[in-house]
Amino acid sequence: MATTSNSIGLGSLLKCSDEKISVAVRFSSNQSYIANVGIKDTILDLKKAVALEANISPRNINLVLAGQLLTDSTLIQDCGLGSHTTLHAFFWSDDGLASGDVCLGTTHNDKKTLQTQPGPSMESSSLDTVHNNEISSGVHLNRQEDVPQRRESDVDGDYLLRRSLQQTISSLGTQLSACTNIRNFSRFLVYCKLCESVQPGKLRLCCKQCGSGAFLVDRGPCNWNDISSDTSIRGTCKNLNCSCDIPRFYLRCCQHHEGDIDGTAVGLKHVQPNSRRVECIICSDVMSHVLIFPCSPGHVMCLDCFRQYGSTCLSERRFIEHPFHGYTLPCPVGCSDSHIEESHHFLLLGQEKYERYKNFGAEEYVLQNGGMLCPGPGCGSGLFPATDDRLIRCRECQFESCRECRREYHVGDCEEYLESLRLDLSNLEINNERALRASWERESTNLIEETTKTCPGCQTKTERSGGCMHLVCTRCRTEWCWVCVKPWNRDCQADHWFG
Amino acid sequence: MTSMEKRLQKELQAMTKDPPAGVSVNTDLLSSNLSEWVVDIEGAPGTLYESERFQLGFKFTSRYPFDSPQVMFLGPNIPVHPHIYSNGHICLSILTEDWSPALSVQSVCLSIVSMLSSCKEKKLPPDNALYVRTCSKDPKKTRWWYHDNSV
Repeated sequence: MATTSNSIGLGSLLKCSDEKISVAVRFSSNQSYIANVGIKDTILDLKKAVALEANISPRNINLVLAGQLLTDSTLIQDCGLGSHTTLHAFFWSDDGLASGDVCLGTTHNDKKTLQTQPGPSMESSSLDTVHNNEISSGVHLNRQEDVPQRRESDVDGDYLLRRSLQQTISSLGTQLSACTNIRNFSRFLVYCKLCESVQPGKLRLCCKQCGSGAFLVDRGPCNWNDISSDTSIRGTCKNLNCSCDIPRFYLRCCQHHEGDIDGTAVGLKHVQPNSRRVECIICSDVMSHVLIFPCSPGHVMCLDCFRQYGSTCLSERRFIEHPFHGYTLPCPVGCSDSHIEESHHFLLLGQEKYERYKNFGAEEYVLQNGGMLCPGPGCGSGLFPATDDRLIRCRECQFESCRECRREYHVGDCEEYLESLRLDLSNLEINNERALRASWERESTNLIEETTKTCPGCQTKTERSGGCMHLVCTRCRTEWCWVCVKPWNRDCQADHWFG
Repeated sequence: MTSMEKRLQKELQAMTKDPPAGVSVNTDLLSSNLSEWVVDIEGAPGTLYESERFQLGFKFTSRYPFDSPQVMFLGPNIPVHPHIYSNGHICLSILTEDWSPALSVQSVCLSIVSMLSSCKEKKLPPDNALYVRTCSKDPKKTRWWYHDNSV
């Protein structure tokens, strides 16, 4: 669909302002305008700029941000707009009906044909209701203007539409008075992959069905459930071709990023501004932003300590595979039901550790679900062998391994094969470099074989550098005996617990 | 100030201002960067260790509280207890695998006092002789880890 994007020199329209930003105004017909406005200008100034360009009256334009109608007197700087923020607009004809989109939709390539749909004159009592709500200063009707006569056939439909619109406006009136400053929404924090940091999130919404941003919600969201995919919030899509009443919320980084940034900001439901000034459970500092564990006391950790906590637990492999929340961590106090519920929080550990987290998580999933990891050099792919054959071939690297000893596949007994590995030192290639590497690997293999024993549960090579003989595998949780290399039992405890 | 020092500073303040019963930090023996503490503890009234005095030594790494502190009894008077070796090493899970950064010097001291209080018979651990002869100097249960599977 053709889109018009024109910069408008506002010059005379602007009041004094220090800083200017470009704001895109998009009608549901996909027609957009870009206006340069000062941050101390009002929404009415913005409407005037767009109206001039679109050749319509400013009072016929309704601007929507995050599902809320913007009032004319609101200052741009109070809307939390950044450069290139898109405001969604729908057209309001002089008869009070949101019928303009139909008109715009059919004539979006020819602005000169912009017309309002004919409509009925409204009852003055209902007009007063709308006007007194004060949220509709850009919506109120000018009684002096000529109102075109409505076609008879439209009576019922238009009337219903008008009724529903008035109800929407009434409920919006109460919402907006409680929530006059859109910046309040920044209590939703995001991890921005472009900034690589936690940033206030800009809450945006569109129609779940048609994707139009010109969507008014019946109430503002108060919590993460409200903005989840199964939100209980309902509203009205201003795209007249769409009857969907369910909004889809999404978050963006508050910083300006060029280009397509869909999916680069992820909501962090456990991270919040520290409005109650609670001490971090680790360092006892009061920090501006904190992570709140979902346990009943709501234990609080500052983001620096969370980074360290996550990094330490990751390197010690203390994350656990949770049945609902995946590979995750609990509150350090050990509270029940305290696991981080959303894996993107571990982006806070940094990109490199996050990659490691994802790898470990995938490995854990494979191991806990009866799979194994390919022992091929540098591979480690998850394998779920279908048959009971001792020979397992990796689909990724084609490495052939032995199901019993998890080494390279071999004929005969595993112990004998291991013995042959230790003795077989003669078979080096002539190529010096390769010979060097091979001998290094041989040395390394020998060292590992000498210093480690394999966990009887998962065959993981395990080194014990002290302590008692009772080991707990952090990978498969098997409790085993270092002396017997078998699952731990009473005899081990009685006989050689400490060696 | 490192985060370890900052945290320990706050713990020290809390413990000197409002010390738990039977526990007091020996401020004369504090190291300057707070990485070593000595805590005096006293057996609780009505227990086998009533009015006996002991000294606990704490050593903290720079990664405290993410790393557990090394904790052991010091000096001539080591409590005779089935979980305390005669060289001062203590067999207590929160000092090793059950350590959590949400624990503190105070919670460790209280756990040890309560471990003493619940003792029914003063006796050494069954393997004391062997352990004391062979153990490492660091009582923190030694870690063990995995080599990369692919090697």
